[in-house]
Amino acid sequence: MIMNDKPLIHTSNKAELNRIKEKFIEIFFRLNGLFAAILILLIFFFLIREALNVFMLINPFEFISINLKSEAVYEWYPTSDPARYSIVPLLIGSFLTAVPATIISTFFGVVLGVYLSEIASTGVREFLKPIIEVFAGIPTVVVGFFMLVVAATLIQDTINPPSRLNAFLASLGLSIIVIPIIASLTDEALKSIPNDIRMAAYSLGASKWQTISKVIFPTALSGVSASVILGFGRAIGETMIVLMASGNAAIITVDIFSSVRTISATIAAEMGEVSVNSAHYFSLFFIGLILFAVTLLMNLLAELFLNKMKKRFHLY
Amino acid sequence: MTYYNRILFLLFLMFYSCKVENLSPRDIITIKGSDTMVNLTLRWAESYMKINPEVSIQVTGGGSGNGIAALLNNTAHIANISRELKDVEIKRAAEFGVNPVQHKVALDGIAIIVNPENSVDSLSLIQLKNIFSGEIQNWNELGGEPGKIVLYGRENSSGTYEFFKQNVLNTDSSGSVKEFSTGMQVLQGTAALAEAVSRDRRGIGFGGIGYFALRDDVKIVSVKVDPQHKAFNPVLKHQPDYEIVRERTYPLSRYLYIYTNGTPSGKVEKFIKFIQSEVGQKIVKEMEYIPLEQSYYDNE
Amino acid sequence: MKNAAEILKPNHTGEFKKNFTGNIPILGIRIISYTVVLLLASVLMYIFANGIKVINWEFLLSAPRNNMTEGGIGPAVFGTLAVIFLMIVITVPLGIFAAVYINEYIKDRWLARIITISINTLAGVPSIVIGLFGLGFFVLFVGKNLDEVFNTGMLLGKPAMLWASATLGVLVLPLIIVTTVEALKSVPDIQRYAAISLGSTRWEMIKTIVLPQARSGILTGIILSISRAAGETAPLLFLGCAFFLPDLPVTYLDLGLFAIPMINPAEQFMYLSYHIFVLTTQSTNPTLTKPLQYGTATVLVFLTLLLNMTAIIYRIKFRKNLEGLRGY
Repeated sequence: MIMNDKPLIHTSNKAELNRIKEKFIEIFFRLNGLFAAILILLIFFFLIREALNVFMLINPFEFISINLKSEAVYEWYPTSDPARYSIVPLLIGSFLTAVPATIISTFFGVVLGVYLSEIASTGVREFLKPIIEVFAGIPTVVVGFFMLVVAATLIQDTINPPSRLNAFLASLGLSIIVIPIIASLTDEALKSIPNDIRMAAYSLGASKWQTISKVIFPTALSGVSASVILGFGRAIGETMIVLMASGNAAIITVDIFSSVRTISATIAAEMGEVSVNSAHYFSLFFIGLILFAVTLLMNLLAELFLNKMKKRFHLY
Repeated sequence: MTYYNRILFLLFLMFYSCKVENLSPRDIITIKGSDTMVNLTLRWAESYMKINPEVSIQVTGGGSGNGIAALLNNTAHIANISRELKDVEIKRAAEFGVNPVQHKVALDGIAIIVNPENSVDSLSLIQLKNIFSGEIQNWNELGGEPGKIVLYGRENSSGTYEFFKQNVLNTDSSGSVKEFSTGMQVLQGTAALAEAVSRDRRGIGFGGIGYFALRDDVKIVSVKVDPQHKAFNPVLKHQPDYEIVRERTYPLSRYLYIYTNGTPSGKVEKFIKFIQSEVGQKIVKEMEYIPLEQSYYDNE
Repeated sequence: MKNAAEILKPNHTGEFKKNFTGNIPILGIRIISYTVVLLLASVLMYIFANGIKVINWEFLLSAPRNNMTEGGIGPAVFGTLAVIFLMIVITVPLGIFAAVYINEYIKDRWLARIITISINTLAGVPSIVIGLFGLGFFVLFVGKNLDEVFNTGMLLGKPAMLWASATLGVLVLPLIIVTTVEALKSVPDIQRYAAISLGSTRWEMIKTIVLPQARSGILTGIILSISRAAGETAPLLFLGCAFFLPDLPVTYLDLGLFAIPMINPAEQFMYLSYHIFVLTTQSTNPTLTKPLQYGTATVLVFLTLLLNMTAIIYRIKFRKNLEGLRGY
């Protein structure tokens, strides 16, 4: 790109006019560009503004537990009297759906990514890659619908969990979305490794599997980690699938077959129905802020891993 | 730049047209609230608009809480609420400068449903209370086959949730107030709830009878006030039992209300009159709810 | 790379065992990969197989009847198209201009970094959080204040199509910017130099050289963002999606002699994805509406698949174009 385009000579009025016009156009573009950056600040600002209002109405500790009859209660009952706003069950719910989903998706997604990048022939890869990208774009409400209507019965007939709708069902649904994401990103991470490295491994007599497992994969590990982290970020923020398939019971449990209520589903289910500027309304913004912070953290982590990988390749 | 100008022009036209819309005489009635009532309201709206094509009625569900919020925020003309307003809510309304006026539009019974394979036929209110607060956890304590009870309920914004809480969980000789068990699965609508119970042998759920009366894949349980009382079933042969619900003999009967801000006038008043008229109440009956007055269904 | 593997593969008999055990993991990877792809595909196939039966023109165009147990999804299709149209009008110019600024104008590296990081962050924000922002900012802040300024009562300060579109716009903005930047980047610098050396100004260079060549790349981004927006549900739950509307959200622009029908952005709307949600969870008779549920899901999936496929085709075309460009 050319960084300096000031004309060397400007004598005529027309040139001067042109220069002003150019200046205006640049300012116009800059406004647009800055707007994108400002938008993220705006989101931050508005979330925080609405979320912090909650502390005028609720004691911050109530988001962990509330004392009822001298007993600490960890419950999410925002419409009861007295209202209970413990986010503990919601956090547990979010993690109990997102973590298993990430584990499942990491395994299958990474395997699929390795296959795409290292094993599949060029033709197969060119055929499969777009298909996998398309899978990542399936509307989540359709996945939720499928889990609720078809998969729930299937799981019930085979595993027969105590609850028909449960965290496991939701995490399976999440996997449908997250596997393609991890697969696609893993494929890209592996592909970004210079071919020389593969050649070097082969020339040392390594078999294909040895090359993949001992050379390629360790080299791309930070890239693969980044893809897993991004997959987790996606899983924890996903709403419709968990809203429809997790059962939405706000309980404290570690049983993956019990139903759970996630942060995202809570916002989706309750936001349309609260009166504006009530404690309940602000508290929904507050849990939204938590969700935002978690995904932000995940993004930054992924960025860090990716940078690490990029740096590594400068060494080679 | 011309592209941007064109867009600006389009936007301008759109806003301009909004203004035109506002000035035009076409009447819009916005209705929000209870999911229990949303299907019923849709039918009212459909028939009313057939008679009065100059009126457009928009219906949104989301729960009674949504209706109240809409009324307070002044985003709806009519709020569907499947329970009476709480004192707190009336106070809040006053703060917002809103004066909610109540109109009875129909009656409804809350039915308790279980899976057809479940052998339990009747439950008392105390039993229901203990079931839904999580104290009774196994069907064999109720005379059924052993198995963990799985609770299905509604979102905390739904009127059915509140009604059930106030009329089942709060009834006790000791007067203690109970909460729903945290283990209760929360479904996004009564239809999803019926679907879940029909597939879950250990499931139990509750909802307006209109949603269950015609279904074969769920069983409606009879309810009695005390263990020694007679148990009543709100539905007989796929037909709501009008008598016991209207007379409130069935313990879980309730009125369905619509609320307006202040005494309605004009288009809204006309619509409410229509709902309470014979035509409107016939629709109530068709939708498996209970009409307000006997005369509306007797003469058939 | 494959050739190298073949050439270097030790193939004398003594190595057979090593090769054999070495190939088991590869075989495993193959099998697992095929299974995953087949499983994912079968989900879609199942929905298609059940949904394709009910789809015809009447289903696509007519309104729901008889308490939403019969009829079609016409208003939902219309609502989806209208929201997406508005979203494009709001976001696409903004996104493209921002991308042009990032790629063609920024001189300050730090500013470029900050903007890029913000956009990447924005891309990772969950849609439900964007929905919260849409409600808090567009509806309750912008809308309410506009109402107060213009004295329009409750026209804009309520969840409506305009705000839903704007919120979806925020959601897809990073996608548009990133794909556009990529498309701009792929235009060889040498052409920029050529244009400038011929005496064109920067804007003329962008207008006549860069943008036309990046067009199919930019289009890819737009199509992808449409597909993303069409599939989105969560933020719309509280931004004006309606259960049922008797009329299309249309208004008539009175021009004196005749009136032009027009989307009314201050209205509520029906949306395909929300329609699926409502049909599955809230219909009076889920057994009766089951075909409608599958039908709607099929339409939505088909729509997003079609859009994604188009985007991919455009991308391939774009890459081919570029290869042509690199040729000279």
